[in-house]
Amino acid sequence: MSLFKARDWWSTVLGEKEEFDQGCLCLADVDNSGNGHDKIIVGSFMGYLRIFSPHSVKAGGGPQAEDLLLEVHLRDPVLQVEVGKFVSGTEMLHLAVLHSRKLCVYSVSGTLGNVEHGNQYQIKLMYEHHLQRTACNMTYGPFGGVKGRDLICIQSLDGMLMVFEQESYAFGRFLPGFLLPGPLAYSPRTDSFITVSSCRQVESYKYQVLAFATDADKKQEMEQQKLGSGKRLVVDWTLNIGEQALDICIFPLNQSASSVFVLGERNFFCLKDNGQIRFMKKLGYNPSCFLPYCSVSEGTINTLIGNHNHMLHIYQDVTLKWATQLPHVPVAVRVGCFHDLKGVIVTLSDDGHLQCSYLGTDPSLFQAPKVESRELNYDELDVELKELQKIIKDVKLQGVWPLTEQEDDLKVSASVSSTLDSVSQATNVEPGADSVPSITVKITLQNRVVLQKVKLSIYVQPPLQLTCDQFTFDFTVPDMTSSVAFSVYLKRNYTPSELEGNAVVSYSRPTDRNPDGIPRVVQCKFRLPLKLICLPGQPSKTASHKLTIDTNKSPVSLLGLFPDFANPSDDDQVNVMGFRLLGGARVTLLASRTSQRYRIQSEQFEDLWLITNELILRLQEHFEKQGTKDFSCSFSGCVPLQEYFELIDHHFELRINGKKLEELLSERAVQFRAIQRRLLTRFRDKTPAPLQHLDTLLDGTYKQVIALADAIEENQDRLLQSFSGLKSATHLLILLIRLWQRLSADQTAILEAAFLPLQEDTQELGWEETVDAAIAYLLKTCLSKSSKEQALNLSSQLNIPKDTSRLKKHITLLCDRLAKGGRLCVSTDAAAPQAMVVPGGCTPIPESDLEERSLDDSTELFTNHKHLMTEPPMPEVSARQGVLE
Amino acid sequence: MSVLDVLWEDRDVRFDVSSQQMKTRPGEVLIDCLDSIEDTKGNNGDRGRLLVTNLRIIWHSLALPRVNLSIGYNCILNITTRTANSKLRGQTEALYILTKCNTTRFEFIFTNLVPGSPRLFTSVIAVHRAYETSKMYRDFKLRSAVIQNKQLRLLPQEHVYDKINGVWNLSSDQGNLGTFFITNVRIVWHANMNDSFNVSIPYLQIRSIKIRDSKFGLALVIESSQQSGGYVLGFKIDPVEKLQESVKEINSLHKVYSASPIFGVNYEMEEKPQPLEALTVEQIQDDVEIDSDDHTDAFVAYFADGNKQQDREPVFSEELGLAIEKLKDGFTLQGLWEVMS
Repeated sequence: MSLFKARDWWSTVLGEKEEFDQGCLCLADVDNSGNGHDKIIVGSFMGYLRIFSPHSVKAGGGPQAEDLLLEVHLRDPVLQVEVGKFVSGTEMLHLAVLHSRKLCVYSVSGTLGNVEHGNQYQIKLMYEHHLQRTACNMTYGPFGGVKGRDLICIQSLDGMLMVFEQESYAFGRFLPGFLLPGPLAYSPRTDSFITVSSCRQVESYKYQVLAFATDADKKQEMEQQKLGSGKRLVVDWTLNIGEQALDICIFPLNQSASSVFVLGERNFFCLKDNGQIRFMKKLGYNPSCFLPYCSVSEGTINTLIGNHNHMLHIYQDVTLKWATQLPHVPVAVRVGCFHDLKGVIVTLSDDGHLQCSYLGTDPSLFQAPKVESRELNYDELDVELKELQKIIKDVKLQGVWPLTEQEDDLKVSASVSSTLDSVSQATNVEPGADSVPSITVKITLQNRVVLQKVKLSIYVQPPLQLTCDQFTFDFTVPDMTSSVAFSVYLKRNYTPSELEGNAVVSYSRPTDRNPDGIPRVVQCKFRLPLKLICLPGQPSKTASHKLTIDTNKSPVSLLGLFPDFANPSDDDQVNVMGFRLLGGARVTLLASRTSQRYRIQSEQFEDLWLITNELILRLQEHFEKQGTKDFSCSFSGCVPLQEYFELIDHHFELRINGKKLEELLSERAVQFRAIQRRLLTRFRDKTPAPLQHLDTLLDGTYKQVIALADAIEENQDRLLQSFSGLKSATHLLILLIRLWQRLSADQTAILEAAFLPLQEDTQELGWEETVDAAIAYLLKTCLSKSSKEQALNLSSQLNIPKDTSRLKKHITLLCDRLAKGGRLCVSTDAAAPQAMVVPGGCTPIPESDLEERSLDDSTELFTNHKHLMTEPPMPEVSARQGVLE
Repeated sequence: MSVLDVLWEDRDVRFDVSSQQMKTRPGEVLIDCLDSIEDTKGNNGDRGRLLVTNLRIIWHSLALPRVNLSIGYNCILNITTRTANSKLRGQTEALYILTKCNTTRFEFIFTNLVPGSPRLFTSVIAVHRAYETSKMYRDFKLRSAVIQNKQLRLLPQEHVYDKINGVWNLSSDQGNLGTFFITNVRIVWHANMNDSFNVSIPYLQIRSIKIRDSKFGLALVIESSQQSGGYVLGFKIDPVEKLQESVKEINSLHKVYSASPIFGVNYEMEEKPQPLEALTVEQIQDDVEIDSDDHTDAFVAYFADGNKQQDREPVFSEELGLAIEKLKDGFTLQGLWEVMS
């Protein structure tokens, strides 16, 4: 952006909503007045032809009425205006006007009156040519070196050059390989036409070659204009410039040479007569028009280039000499001489702003000076200042936003349908023996105020699947209610670790000061029924894993507890109930007839969890209904750590396996690329060499890569399944520890945070190391035996461990310490960098491709952050402290 | 006295005008009224109201109505929308108006304080465009394309009242025979021999209409306003009775026009704004006598090119081969350019 501006010498606005382009402006002494003053000739696409003779604008006035010499409406659109010696027998200047189907040549004459407004001007049509082809542009000059007259060459839209020798039509030739018309110019020095073709190359055609292209069409001279000639034209030279051109100009360099200037869309070229590049200049802007206008020093040419940023640049060859701001985007630029002022820049914009300007030489480094005369109203300002200070104070007191009203902004409720869907919505399920049912969940949102960007995301534990997990809403008016329904089903052949689903709504609440809104989150949990993943089954007496839960109340009929799983065929078996999970595993629930005990047994340890949890929940519900308040469950002794450790080992083994496979894959890929490289050099070699079985090797490696990739995918599937099992088992373990030690809700929360830190585990950050770190922290702080142990070692990074023995040791130790009366508590006086270790506080960063989904799931991370919405900026740990205090 | 010489509304940029000057003149109509517009350049941080009439834009502060601007469309060189920094809105899209009034360029920046409302831009730009494209109603024109096949090309609100044949234009020695068209907006004369030799004189630009003696005998003399170049046009109509009759007709039409001028700026708003009188706040008379010579320097804030009232004259520069503004003493073109780049 230049600091200089073009100074307005004379300007006017042409017409009403007319359009103009680069051919529409021409400067010449068109009325042959002989005083050397240029007239400005402007044609418009609306068919108006105007001739101006500008006078310097007198102080205080606009352009004068007498500056307009002539205005005529020609009816047809004017594509181009040129002035030259177009009429035979005279060397007077005449005006050629190109319409789309017509070429007209006029003489412009003036008769002077006594006063300025008595001068009258007239145009007289000398001759016209009707064109058989729609014209695009034209050029003129002494074609073939004729003296004292100018010939006209018109390029049609379909690529024919039509040459007119003044009043008569000479010939027409098609340009070879023509697609779209480009700019056209005539070089008198080489007697050739220069254009830029659709092949993005500058092409030069000799006039002689054009004229003598073929004799064949001489016979059909009458038809010539219609048909053109068939013979191929030979191009004189071409130069590839790799872009479309806006304009071409020929400018004489010295006595014996001229330069061809081509303005491309991004570059500006100067070529010699023979098509060699003299120089080129890369333009850092989008040019709109150009004009080589003079040679200030020997051997260089000055050029004006206008651009779409309202700028006009002046180059001496490739050196930028000046730049000035224009009020409009010029589509055509000329330099003229008016009334003793030489070098006036005339620009025309596409909407008809015609301006004659000179270059301003005062840089405008403008800054608004202070206006002193307007007094300030101090009382008002004082009031405003006080008000603002009050707002600042309020915000400081209340926190970033007022919390009181937040609850009411949006109400979210979820309702799970009481029955399974009559037609299951499950699609793409893994083939299995059972048909997979689905259940409908309905989420209802009710807003109090206008909200923006309301988005609902729903998360359920894999392998449960939703028919749709993202919804957007539009709450443009207050007090709207919208609801959405979706179905949940089991997608894969194993058991999810939880039946709870979570709906999270994020929205922005616009306020007066923040129209974009303050982002907020509301969440709502729902519980899916057991029958979604479980069918009634045959109870089995024997099982490898058994659990016994004690209660303090007399046993309840299992049929009463699980009416939805009652098997009508054997109602006598009131104390036995069988479940068959959709994955295929069986779980049997036994109620003791005499004692207050329940037994859950299964072949798989992790399958016990869902049923056990369901049993306890239903028991609690049952007794609550009866009005019994002091119901409690307990678990006596011996937490089944061994079974739990087996699951950990299995999960860990799969992780190690995955790591190995990935390493193998990376090796194979390196090998594959090496073979490819060798093969490529073989093939590129000019002397063919035997492939030496490299192709076989390539093929073999390729197969290995594919097989490894398949194995990784399969391993990932198994890892997912194993992780789900591990999570189930962990839930069970926590439940058992809770029942066993009668832990409070707060302590259970700490245990959950320690044992279930991740939604999904990855190679980079897995379950084992995070849990180990969390448990080690617990052991070193609240469960430590002596203060010696409390020395925290936080430096180590979380890496995948070599084996699981350390973790197992720590878990065993944790159980031991809890058994010996240790209390879980994360107290405030503990060392500050807790956040680093307590795993719930750090969010795993999803990295592997497996984690794509976790972007959607990220909302789920909020599940542990119960206080996030009320104390937003604080980390998770402090939130929990608040509870414990 | 021509209408024009008292018409300043569209041809001037004025600052802190009196309440009298804020009112619409005959023929001037209020097209749009926008509340909450900030004059970002001169009164940044001040809420104001923008009134768009068919002749000018008026802005006044809501807190202090005597802080105001009146920008005539004829002075406007260019209207663009650009990003500006407003005290009330921060970075925002603003309306830039570059004007030139008596060789001084002023720049105005207006910001709409209602976010997301493009009305400021649309109505000002559209009305200015309507003004620009209706110049035939207001401008004295010579040799323009007003005649087609000996018929007057009528403007949208124009009606021909009379057509007088045999009118000699006395601008050349032998005179030119032509025809008068007398309409409700202007008088048009054209030569019978040459359609493009014509004069279009809107009543707005007529300073006086007289019958005077000339070397051709009694003639109708129309003097155009100073603004349009102060042309003196002589026409001869024979016989004298017909001449007098014509003059009478032109005079009465001129009077009618002066009472309610037709400016030709037509712009339809979907919702009609209230009349200007209802919106203008009466200025409270201060108790203190204000010295009328004590003009505010309010205009200083709006200079488009620093503290420069006028451009220097153009001269030809051999160095660039172009006309440039005459350099200040001690400056060279190259020096200036090298400092800048």
